[in-house]
Amino acid sequence: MYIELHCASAFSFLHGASLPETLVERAAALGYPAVALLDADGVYGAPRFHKAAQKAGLRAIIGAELTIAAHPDSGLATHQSPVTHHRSRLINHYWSLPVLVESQEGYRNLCRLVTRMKMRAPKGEGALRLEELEGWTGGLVALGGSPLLDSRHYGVGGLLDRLVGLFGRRNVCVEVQRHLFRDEEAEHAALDALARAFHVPVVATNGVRFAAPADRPLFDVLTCVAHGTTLDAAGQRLARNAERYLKSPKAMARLFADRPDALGGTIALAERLEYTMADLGYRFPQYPVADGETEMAFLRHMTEAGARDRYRPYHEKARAQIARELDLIEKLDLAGYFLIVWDIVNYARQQDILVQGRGSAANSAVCYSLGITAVDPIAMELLFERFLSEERGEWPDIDLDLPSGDRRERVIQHVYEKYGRLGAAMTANVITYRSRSAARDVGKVLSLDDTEIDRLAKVMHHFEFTDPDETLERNMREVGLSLDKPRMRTFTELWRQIQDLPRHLGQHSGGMVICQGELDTVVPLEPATMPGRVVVQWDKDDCADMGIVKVDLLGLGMMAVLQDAIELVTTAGPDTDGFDLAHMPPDDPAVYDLLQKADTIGVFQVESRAQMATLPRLKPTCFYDLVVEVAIIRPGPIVGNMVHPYLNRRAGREPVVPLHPLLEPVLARTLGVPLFQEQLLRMAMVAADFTGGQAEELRRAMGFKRSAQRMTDIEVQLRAGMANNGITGDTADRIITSITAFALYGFPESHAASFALLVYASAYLKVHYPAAFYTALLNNQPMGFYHPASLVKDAQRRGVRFDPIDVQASDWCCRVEPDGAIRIGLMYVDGLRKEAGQAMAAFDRAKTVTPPLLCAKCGSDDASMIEVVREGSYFCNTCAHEWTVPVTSAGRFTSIEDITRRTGLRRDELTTLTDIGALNAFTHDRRSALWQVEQAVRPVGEMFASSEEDTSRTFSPLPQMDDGERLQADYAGTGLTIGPHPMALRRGDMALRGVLRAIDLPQARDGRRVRVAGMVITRQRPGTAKGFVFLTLEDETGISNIIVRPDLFDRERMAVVRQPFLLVDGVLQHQDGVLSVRAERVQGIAGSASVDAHNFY
Amino acid sequence: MFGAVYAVDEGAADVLIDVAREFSPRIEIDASPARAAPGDRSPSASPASPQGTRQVVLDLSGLTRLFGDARAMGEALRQTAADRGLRVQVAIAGTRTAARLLVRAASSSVTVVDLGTEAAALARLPIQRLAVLAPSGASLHAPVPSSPRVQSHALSHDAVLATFRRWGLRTLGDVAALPAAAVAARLGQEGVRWQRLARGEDPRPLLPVVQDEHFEQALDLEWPIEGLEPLSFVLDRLLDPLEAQLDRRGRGAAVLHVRLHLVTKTVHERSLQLPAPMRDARTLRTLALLDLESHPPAAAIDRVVVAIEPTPARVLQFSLLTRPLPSPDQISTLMARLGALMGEGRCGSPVAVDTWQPGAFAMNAFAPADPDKSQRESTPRPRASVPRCGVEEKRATTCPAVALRRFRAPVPARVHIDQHTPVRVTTDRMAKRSVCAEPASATSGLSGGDVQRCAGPWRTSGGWWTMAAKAWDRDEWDVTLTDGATYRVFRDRSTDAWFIEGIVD
Repeated sequence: MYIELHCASAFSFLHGASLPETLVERAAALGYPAVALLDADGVYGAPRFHKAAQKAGLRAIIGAELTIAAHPDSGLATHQSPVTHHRSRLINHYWSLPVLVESQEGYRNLCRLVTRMKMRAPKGEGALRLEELEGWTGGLVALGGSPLLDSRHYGVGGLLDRLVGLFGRRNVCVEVQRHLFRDEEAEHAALDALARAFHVPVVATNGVRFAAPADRPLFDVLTCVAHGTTLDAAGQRLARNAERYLKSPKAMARLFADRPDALGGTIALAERLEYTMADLGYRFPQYPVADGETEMAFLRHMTEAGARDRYRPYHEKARAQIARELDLIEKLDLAGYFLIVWDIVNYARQQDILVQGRGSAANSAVCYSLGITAVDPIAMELLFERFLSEERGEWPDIDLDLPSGDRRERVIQHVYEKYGRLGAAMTANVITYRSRSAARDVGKVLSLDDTEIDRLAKVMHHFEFTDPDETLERNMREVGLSLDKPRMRTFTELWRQIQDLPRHLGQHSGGMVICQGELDTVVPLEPATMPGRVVVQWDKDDCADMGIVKVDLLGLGMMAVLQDAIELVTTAGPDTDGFDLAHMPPDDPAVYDLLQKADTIGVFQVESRAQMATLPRLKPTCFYDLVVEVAIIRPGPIVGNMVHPYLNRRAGREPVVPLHPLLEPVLARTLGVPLFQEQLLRMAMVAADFTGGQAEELRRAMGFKRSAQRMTDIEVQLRAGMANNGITGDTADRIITSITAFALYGFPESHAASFALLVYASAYLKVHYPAAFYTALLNNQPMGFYHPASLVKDAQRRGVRFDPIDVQASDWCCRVEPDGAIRIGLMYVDGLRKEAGQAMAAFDRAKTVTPPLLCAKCGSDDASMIEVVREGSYFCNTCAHEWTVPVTSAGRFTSIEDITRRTGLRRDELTTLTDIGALNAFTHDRRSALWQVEQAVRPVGEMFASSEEDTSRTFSPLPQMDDGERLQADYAGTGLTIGPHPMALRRGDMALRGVLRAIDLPQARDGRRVRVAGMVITRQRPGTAKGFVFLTLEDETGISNIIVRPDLFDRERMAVVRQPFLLVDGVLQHQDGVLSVRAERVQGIAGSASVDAHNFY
Repeated sequence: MFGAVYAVDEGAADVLIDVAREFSPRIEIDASPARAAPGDRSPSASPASPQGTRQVVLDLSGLTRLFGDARAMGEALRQTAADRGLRVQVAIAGTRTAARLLVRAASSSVTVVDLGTEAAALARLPIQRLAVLAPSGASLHAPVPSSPRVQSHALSHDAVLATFRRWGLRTLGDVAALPAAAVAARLGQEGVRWQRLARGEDPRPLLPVVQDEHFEQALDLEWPIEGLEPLSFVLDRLLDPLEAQLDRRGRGAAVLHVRLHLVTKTVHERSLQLPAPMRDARTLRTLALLDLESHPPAAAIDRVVVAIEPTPARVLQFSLLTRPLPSPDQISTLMARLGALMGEGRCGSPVAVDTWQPGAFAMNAFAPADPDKSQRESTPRPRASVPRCGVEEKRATTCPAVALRRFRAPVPARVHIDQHTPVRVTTDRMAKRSVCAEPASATSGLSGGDVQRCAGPWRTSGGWWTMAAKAWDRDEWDVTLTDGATYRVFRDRSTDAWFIEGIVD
């Protein structure tokens, strides 16, 4: 018998070539009873290893290879073990100490040691000194290998002596490995002598780096990536042979046939290592409550108080639901969790940060009462069990949406401060190899030239849509590459193998874990690239698997927009005081009118082309319709062919027939069509008698990106369950299709409800407070579907006025002027440094200059006799004379020279500002300002300064800009224009060519041939659209939607993809209020200036 | 008076220059923007390089008696070019700049501008035309101001032209009309210079091109020759005048090209990169002949061309204190002789390569080091990437210091295996066929026999990403046979073939 005690997985990041699951799978196949995972400086792969081993019935032994710094003064190489040989950074001054965990204490110590090492070093680096192990070695067993022979730094036997001193004689073993190297036998002899001298056992291991010999090429590739070199140049940094694979116990026994003591030592040690991560010792923090009170009692009080505020009246149904939820919370001992989340929400509210819970938390009336979520689950009839169930036995998942940017960061930092740097951390995001990154890294390693690598990277994913007949070979042939070349064949093989292998550790967008006590004893922590952030070594799925509670603090651009817009509205005037999201009038007809007309540019979630095409058909009239609208345009319902049946049933064109009579109550609200994840779970429970646990497994599989195998397993269970209920054949197939279509893209109803609330709020603001809404949108770019230029034009079509960028008046961000116009901010000036722009905006705008009151006719200055008629207009009661005084604004600067001198702007910044007219306050036009700026930026010195005549400075011989030039300058300098649309300048020409404006299309009948033209603002080729391309053209009157067939796209690819302005001939489709042009001919037309379209390939 | 001639057709630079030379010895070639770097005044960057030239400027002063008035001269230029099959456009003006700006702007093939009216003639041209002056203008930048403060505001010609465009100026007339002082105040001297150019004023006089000198000799043979011996005399005859020509110009040969036109109507061409500039005809001839020995022509020769790429000649200062090394000429000749004898790539200095492949090495070109330099350099340090058993460590262990005499190439063998271990080794090949192996115990050959002791296997593999010939995957064994000899044998795992790699002394 043999147990492998030294395996490294791909979670050693480029120093291992097999996933933990693969190692476990092979170990199980080879008949191992246990196997140990020792990744470099961490336990990154341990949860997956532990879970896979549990499933395979193996005992998962945990450990790590700790990087140890040799003598700090030494510049000489230590005697490197093969394990660390590949680390060029470490080659001279560092060595690796494998340690195995014997007990929970050992695991805690390991986590602490790794945290200590990582937290003081830059990301991806770090090493411990031997003396730092002192006191933290309890429960750990050290394996000493060839580094023990380093007599230069530690003296003869000195290192083993130190290890024995640190770990205790019982917890140190001498490790021998045989990889069939000529020189390792001499090493073994020396190690044996040391082991005998110190009376420590010898253990045999294989220092595994990959599961099977066939993985060696991939391991070599990863080695090259780690060293930034190529296979041709890597030389002895590559593996010497392919022996570091997981060998069978029999093979290991044969290999060490002459060393029964070493094999025996391995078995004896493995038997001692009982710790398997089953209990990490994790505890969620307790919420501090007053003496004599329990968390649960406090939660009940808070919920009661909140419910009375939320439910007016606090009806019986709500009481009963809340009582039921609280009882379950008490039973599961989750009161602390709810209070902590409630506390975070409260902090955000106190800081005036908009916050809203989303996800399954929206199913909970307790969350609603506590103010965590904003959707009433009772009114919405949401399923509480989806959020929390006794059977599931795991922590509930509460996601909080916060305004993206600084405000979200403030909440994150608050959590760090409250629970300590070692008590809270972000979850990690394991960055794995995907098609493009894999193509680039493998291509470089194989010394392919840059152009070939670029082409290969493009080939792998050119468009989201993939032709069913598409093969890698065909794709490669299309870009002039051939699989006939041996190196290209090697490339494709390695490219396939490297997919999904971890490359490095990133940071999850918002998941935070919090711990009672020290989180660094549960999982090692390390610094993130972002300053002030700490991450755990596991991603969110691993944390969930290991029972660690996560709170997602997610940044949502629209939350920032809503918050900014509300601030703008409430500060605009007394009549809007008190406006907030919670008190928006429900079911406002104007909002639904806007949505039904699909006038939704800028509105959350429903502004995309597909959503806009659905809104007029769905004709939302109530909040639940919005929930459906949010959920229906998703890949799940689209792939499952559920969109058209729903719309047809809603329009009465199709009878409402459930998939099966059993499913009628489940699907009643959605007209017999499954649209939400909850419905699918219930379908499984009703039709296939799934238990809650099985349904939960189904839910996890839906969101589980790693394995299609899990879905296949579940499909088998579903079919069996349905067969028991007599559901077979076509009906069973349709139910299976409905469920599996959601596998990756299912949308929970509660989540859709939370989003629908934001849809309603953003639409409400757009309808009633457009200036504030567009200002907030412009200030939070990039976000959403449209370019700022399109947002400006959309706002103008709605009657919003814009003021240009003006150095005298503009702030860094856009703002609403007292007259209701939006003043574009300096942030839109291309190339203007933020600090310079903010400094400029910080100069006080002088108050309006009002000349002293003096009657122009009689000269009276008696204020009591002068009456203010209106602003700037006065009446003298002495002589009955009325006159007007021009009111001027002094602005921030007195002249162009003044701005040049005081702001420190560079020449290019000044010329851009001048080009876009931001300096027009000092002169009569842009060119004139440009003439002055060019001189202002070239100081002539004191001697000549006085000789310059004012007239020569201000008089400009330059011609004024025409409309086209102004437009060009606006787009070049700001990316948008508040002047005429580029198409407006060409309207005369377009009219002669019979081009209809976007506003004219609704008047045309369905099926008529039309010609439209405009600036391309979006291009889409969705994966679910079978190769069709959707274009959005914008002209001065609105937008028109173009559908391009795949064959036309193939013929006119360059025009469709590259041309900024298009003229399209086609047939108008006018169905259910949705307008689109089915293109028959596409051609590019000249346009003076344009913005880059948003492409969604 | 200056004329600018623009060739409408591409690839006729030689004809264009010939035509221009027929009219005036003073011609200047307009460099394309890609060929002249801004500010570069070196001869190599001067607009003297004719390849790809499509425009030349001629100084036509004083030629009226010869060709008539300006228009007649223009027509004559056009006609002469047309006679050579070249379509050209011609502009004649009082300044070089005006001629250059006008030559491609006019619709007629000959444009003539009266003296003093250049600015008016240019006024209607679009401002984009100024771009044609950018390269030569860039090479004649106004002197860079010395004051750092002013220098920081100096604008490049690109920036000036961009500023003109931003100012909304559309024609050269717009540029010319700006107040010069105001332009200077805003754009500095560079702006003023461009404004002058827009008015057609010349910033500098014409720089006439000096013709390139070619170092090439050719000989058409009356009768085709075969073999290298007669060729040797031909080469002598061609190289002697080249040596004299190089000597006159103070140049040496950097590259020697030999083109042999064969009776089969093919050209056998060889180029020799010389390690140092040299001009000795005998050395050059020897090198050429040695190279041709290795790469002989396939048929009889009926024309021989020898061309030399010149480089400044080598200046040698011998030291009184160090022993002189053989001259590069001698070393080149020696290496060429050895190369011809041994074959290409088989002659040089062996170097270890960074690989796990057993016995791998590479050949570097033989280059004797400067003794002074080599003394300064310490002995090569052991590479950190090969930290394996050193000699001292071996002594410390049980194995004595041994040397492996490696066979080139490995000797195929038959190895009998029992219990995964070699038990008998035999071979048909004799040891003396190998170059350096002659063990004391087996002077007549590899006798083979039963294995008394063995150690192994030691496994290495690699090069899997290369062609099969360069990949390796093998198990090595050290075996001691009954006759007392110890061999290193290995099994190629991909073919399951056994070889004797060497013998341990």
